[in-house]
Amino acid sequence: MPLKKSSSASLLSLLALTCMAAVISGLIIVNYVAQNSLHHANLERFQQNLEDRARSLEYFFSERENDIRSLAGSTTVTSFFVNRALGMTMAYGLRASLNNISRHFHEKVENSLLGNTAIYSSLLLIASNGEIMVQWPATSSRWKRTTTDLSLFEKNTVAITNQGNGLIHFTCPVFVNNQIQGFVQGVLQYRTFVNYLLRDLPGSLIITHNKSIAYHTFTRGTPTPALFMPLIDTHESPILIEQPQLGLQNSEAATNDKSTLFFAAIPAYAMKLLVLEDGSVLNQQRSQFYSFASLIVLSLAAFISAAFIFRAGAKRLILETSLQEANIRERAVAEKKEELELVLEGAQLGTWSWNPLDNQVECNERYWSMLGYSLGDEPDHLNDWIQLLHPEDAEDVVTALTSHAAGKSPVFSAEYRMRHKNGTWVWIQDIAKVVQKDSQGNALRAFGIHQDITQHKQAVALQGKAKQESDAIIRDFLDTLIVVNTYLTIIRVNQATCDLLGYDEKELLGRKVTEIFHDTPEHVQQAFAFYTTESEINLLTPQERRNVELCYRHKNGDRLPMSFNIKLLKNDEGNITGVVAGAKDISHLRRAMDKIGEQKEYIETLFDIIPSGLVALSPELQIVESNRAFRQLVETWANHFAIPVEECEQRFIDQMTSAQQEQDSFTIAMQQGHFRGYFRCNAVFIAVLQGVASVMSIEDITDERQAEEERRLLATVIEQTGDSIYISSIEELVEYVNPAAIHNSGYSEEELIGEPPLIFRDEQVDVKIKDELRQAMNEGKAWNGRFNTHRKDGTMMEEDATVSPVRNDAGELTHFVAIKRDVTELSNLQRQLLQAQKLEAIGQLAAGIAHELNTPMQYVQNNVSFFKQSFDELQPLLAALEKIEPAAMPSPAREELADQDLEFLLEEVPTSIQETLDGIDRVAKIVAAMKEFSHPGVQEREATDLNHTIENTLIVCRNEYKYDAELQTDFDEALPLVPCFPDQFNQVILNLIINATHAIQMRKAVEPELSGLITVTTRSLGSWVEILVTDNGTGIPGKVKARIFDPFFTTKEVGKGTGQGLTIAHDIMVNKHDGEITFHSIPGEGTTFALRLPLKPKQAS
Amino acid sequence: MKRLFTALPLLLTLITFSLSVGLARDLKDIQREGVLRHLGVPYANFVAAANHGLDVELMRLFAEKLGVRYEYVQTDWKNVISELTGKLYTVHGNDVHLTGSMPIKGDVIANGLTILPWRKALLDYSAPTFPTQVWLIAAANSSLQPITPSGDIEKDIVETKALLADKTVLGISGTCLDPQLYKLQAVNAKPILFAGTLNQLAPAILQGEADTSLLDVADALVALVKWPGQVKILGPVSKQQVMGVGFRKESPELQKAFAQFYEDLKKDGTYAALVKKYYPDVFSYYPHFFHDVPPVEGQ
Repeated sequence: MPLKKSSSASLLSLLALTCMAAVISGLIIVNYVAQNSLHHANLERFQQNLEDRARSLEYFFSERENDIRSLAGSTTVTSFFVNRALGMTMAYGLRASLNNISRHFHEKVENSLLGNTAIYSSLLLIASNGEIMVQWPATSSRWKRTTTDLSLFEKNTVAITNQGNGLIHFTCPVFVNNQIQGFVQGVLQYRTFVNYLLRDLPGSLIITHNKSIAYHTFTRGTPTPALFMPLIDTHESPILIEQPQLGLQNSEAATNDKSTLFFAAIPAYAMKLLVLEDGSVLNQQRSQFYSFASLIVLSLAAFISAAFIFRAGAKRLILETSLQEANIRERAVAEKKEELELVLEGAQLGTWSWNPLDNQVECNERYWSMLGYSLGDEPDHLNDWIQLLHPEDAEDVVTALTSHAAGKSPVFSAEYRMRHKNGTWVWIQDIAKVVQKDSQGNALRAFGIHQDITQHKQAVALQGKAKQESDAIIRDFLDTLIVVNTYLTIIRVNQATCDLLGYDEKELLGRKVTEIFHDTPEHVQQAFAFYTTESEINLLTPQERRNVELCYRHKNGDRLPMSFNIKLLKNDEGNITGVVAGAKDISHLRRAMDKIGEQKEYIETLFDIIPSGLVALSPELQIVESNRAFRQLVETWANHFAIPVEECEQRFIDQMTSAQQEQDSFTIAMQQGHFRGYFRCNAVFIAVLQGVASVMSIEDITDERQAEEERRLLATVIEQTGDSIYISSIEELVEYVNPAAIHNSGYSEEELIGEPPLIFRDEQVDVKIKDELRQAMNEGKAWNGRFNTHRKDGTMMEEDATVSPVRNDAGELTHFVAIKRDVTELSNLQRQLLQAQKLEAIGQLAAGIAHELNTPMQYVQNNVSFFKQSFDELQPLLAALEKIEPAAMPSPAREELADQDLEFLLEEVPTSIQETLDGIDRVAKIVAAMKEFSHPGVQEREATDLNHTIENTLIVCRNEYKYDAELQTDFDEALPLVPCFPDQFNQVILNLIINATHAIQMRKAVEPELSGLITVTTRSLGSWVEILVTDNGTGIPGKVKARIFDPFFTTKEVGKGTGQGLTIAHDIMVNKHDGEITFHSIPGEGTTFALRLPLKPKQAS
Repeated sequence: MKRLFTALPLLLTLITFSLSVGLARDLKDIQREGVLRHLGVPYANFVAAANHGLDVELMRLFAEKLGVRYEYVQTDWKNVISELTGKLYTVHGNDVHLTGSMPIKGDVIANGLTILPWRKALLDYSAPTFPTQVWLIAAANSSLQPITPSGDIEKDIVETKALLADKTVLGISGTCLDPQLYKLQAVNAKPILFAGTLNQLAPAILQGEADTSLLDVADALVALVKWPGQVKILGPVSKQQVMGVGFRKESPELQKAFAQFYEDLKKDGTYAALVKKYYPDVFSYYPHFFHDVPPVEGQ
């Protein structure tokens, strides 16, 4: 049998080894095939990877094309050329266009990134003549011509060019008006995108463009495209290639003569991507075969050796295994025992063994230690043990134990007290069982476990006490308290609840809790079994519900609103046993809430009827509440602004919240188009209450503001008007005067306010006018009229006044307003005009009379001349007659001759005739002078011979002075012609001569012997001429010298002067002629007026 | 008239009110009351919005420097000087006539306020804060051709004005674009006083409201960006002008405080950064104006 067993084991071993060898061989073959496939897969993956990279590159280039095309077509770029075509220049506007492009390029460069690297090394705008207009980033090459060959470009295309310096250019023409105006060029560094898109590619990289090398990573020499390009054009990637075929002098890999060249095309850009890998990649297939064979041989040798080793060790292994099993079992028993000890130790259990035959008891050490005994002094007989039992428990324990020993109970189990050695009682839980019986079934040995449960018993006792206390608390709790189990049955209730509901405790216990509420059963159930709802279960702390409002039903049916706090009850195992619910009577609270609700409703109503807009805002400035007025205001202005209500509302809130940060009361203005609104706002900040942080009121004061502006305008008008405005009470006391009134009257505001109006204070105002005005005021009617009154300084002022009654809304007369206009000057001008018209009329009349006189004077003069001539002819005859003796004459002649005094006639008639002729000549001169003097005025200055015109004036007015003064002239014969208005100048001379005459008359009144003298002198003063009118009259007193040119100022007696003469003279000389009129006067000696006229007046020039 | 009479009883109250509000404040008053009121008119990028714009930021920094709160008071070109000075006025050429008074509403004007002789009669200016010039613009389709710069600004102005013979030109009264300031009648131009704002001049030209318009450089540059290829600059009608911050003549201390603040702002580069933010082109147009302002990165 041993031999048979050995042979069989050897066969089995051999069979196992053969199988293993076959399996390993198979695995090696599979591995070889897999490695081979993997190699091809790697090549394909590498090629695929390269082609993927090529496609990435193609996509990258297409993106750049789009970039450059987009830039070239952008408005920012084209507008520069458009502006330039419009004729704009760099100095005026065009540079801004370039700056815009520069900014645009800047943004493009900064936003076009590969990882963290900028894609473009620069962006350029190139003019069609090759000049660089913009370059970003700017370099020193700015404003020099680009080296790019611009002839490469075609319409609407992006040309890609390589400079062989590691840069690639994307260039797109800029078309404006269908003509190329310039180019946008993006410059990229190959290194930038190669590092990002082609990183991780093993070997050396070549990128060709149009069969030229655009970029490569060879560090030693540059490959020659002419050598390897034909190969890649005629073969598929990858190919094995030798170093000379690349044109490299020194191999990059340097480990193998042959290298693998992978390549992929980017046809859209006539580019190829080549990667040169060292030769081992393709030669890997051959080396795999050698390693495969070596592995087979080594495997066989290893398996044969293993077979021998296996056979020798098999027996020893079986023995060792049996021995180990025995050891394991032994250790397991020991471990179990140890475990039991640990359990007993851990559970603090004592053990005992009882022999019913001899009542001997054996206990372990822990048993006795529970009772305070140590080994050696412990009782060892059942009777002694019974003595240790509590008298109340001893009988029950012995009965139960003997009963079990008699086989009447399957197990002995009891809790009882035993006396500790120190006299205290220890609660013991005892479990025992008979473990050995004789053949008759009598117990031979019982084994028990003994545990000290004193602490547990004490805890239970305490628990019972606590329960009693809690019962007392529940019972005596002042608020209502009920305990409901999970079946919603009332299991506990306190006296307060019974008193509240009118039941006694027995009536309530056992009832369904839903029966004692007015609320629906579902509602009550939801409250008292809240823990059963899914949402509550999901809560992390579903321990209680607070402030649940339910309404108790009194036994008599009354409603008792209560607020409950309901808390879960759980047993020691943590299982829910029900809920305890405490409640408070909230009927008074409910009433208060109802009242609050009413108040809230009242406030909300009030909120809505308040005319001002009110809006309550949350801390986040969201609208919490708004009243009707606010909403209407928003809607109104949304309509005005023609914007959505929501947008309008937000604008209001934004403006208000922005303004209220500065102050609580403020005004905001909002404008849209022609609509402008003003709003007065007030903000009140409150501690956050119910989500409200601030309340703001808003009031539309647009109308008020407009009215205010109107009022301000009216006030400004009244303040600034030149008319005097007085407002007086019906008691005729002035209450308001405007600045013009103060200015015109010369009185201060204090002197006018509170006093009767000036018209009533001035005694010189015509009483009739005062009566008319007072009567109109008494009748409440308006009055207007003109009157003279006095300024404070005593000067007279002529005023046009309108006095109107002012009535209030009830039509009652409250004030009078007087608007007065100072018409003194106007009136003066009117008088001047009247005087001038009168003079003009007189002048015209005089001219007519002069004309009429001229004709008769002509023939009177002719006839008198005829008389003179005839008498001269008669004179010899008459002389001869006189010499004839009377006797020699016939009688009639002699008698007639005797009657005539012929001698007298001959002597006097010629004299009379001559005097007549002189008189006629004088009249003719006066008539001529009057005609000239009264010549109608001219519109333009005319060159005038002043000597002549003065002479004429002196003739005309001779009658004025001839009786009082002699008039002498001292004319400058070389006086140039003076540009002037002759008629007006005549008026001045006339006025001065008349004044001089009057002054002489006045002096002669006191000095009758005075010989009056008026001298008129003319002289030339270079560019001026001067006319002096001097008299030896009274002179002008010093105190009136300052006023002689004032209108209506006169020192002459009534009826002799109007006070206008010198005023008119001054006006004519100064205002009309740009000349001067001055005077020098010595009172009592005379006056000299000097008139000066410019030869080149300003207005004429 | 009836309304006038019924309003009369209120006049005394109104007059008292107008006298009591808006008293002129100087630095101490501003610091005591804790607020600097910045009068601004929305204009180009000087005052673009209540919290945006070169001059808004400038005044915010100034208020911060003074330790007071900043308050923006928006107004319009017609009233801005009156609301600073409290004076109503009329302008005839370079002559100013005071016509009344009004409440003061602000302490300082900063919104690209060009320094003009007549304005100097009413208020005091800070040191120049910004260069400007008035250009003549037209729509791109206008027959008017931009002038060729001669290198002599006087000649350029004459040549530009000559373009205006019998042409309408928009301007705004009371601003640096007031046609009266440039004697355009002498070349037989037909000025039209525009009722809109400065920012609406370029759109008005595009809508054909006039042949040309006056526009200052700042607004012209903005217009070129907003309406590329639609407007063209014909040439200058003024020499280089400058803008400044306007102060009441009764606020010398405030003006002095601003002068120091402005100097500091220029020295530490803050001002150049602000200008670059709102007018990046202005450095290339007016390099001389900013010669004492330290350059900003990228400038």
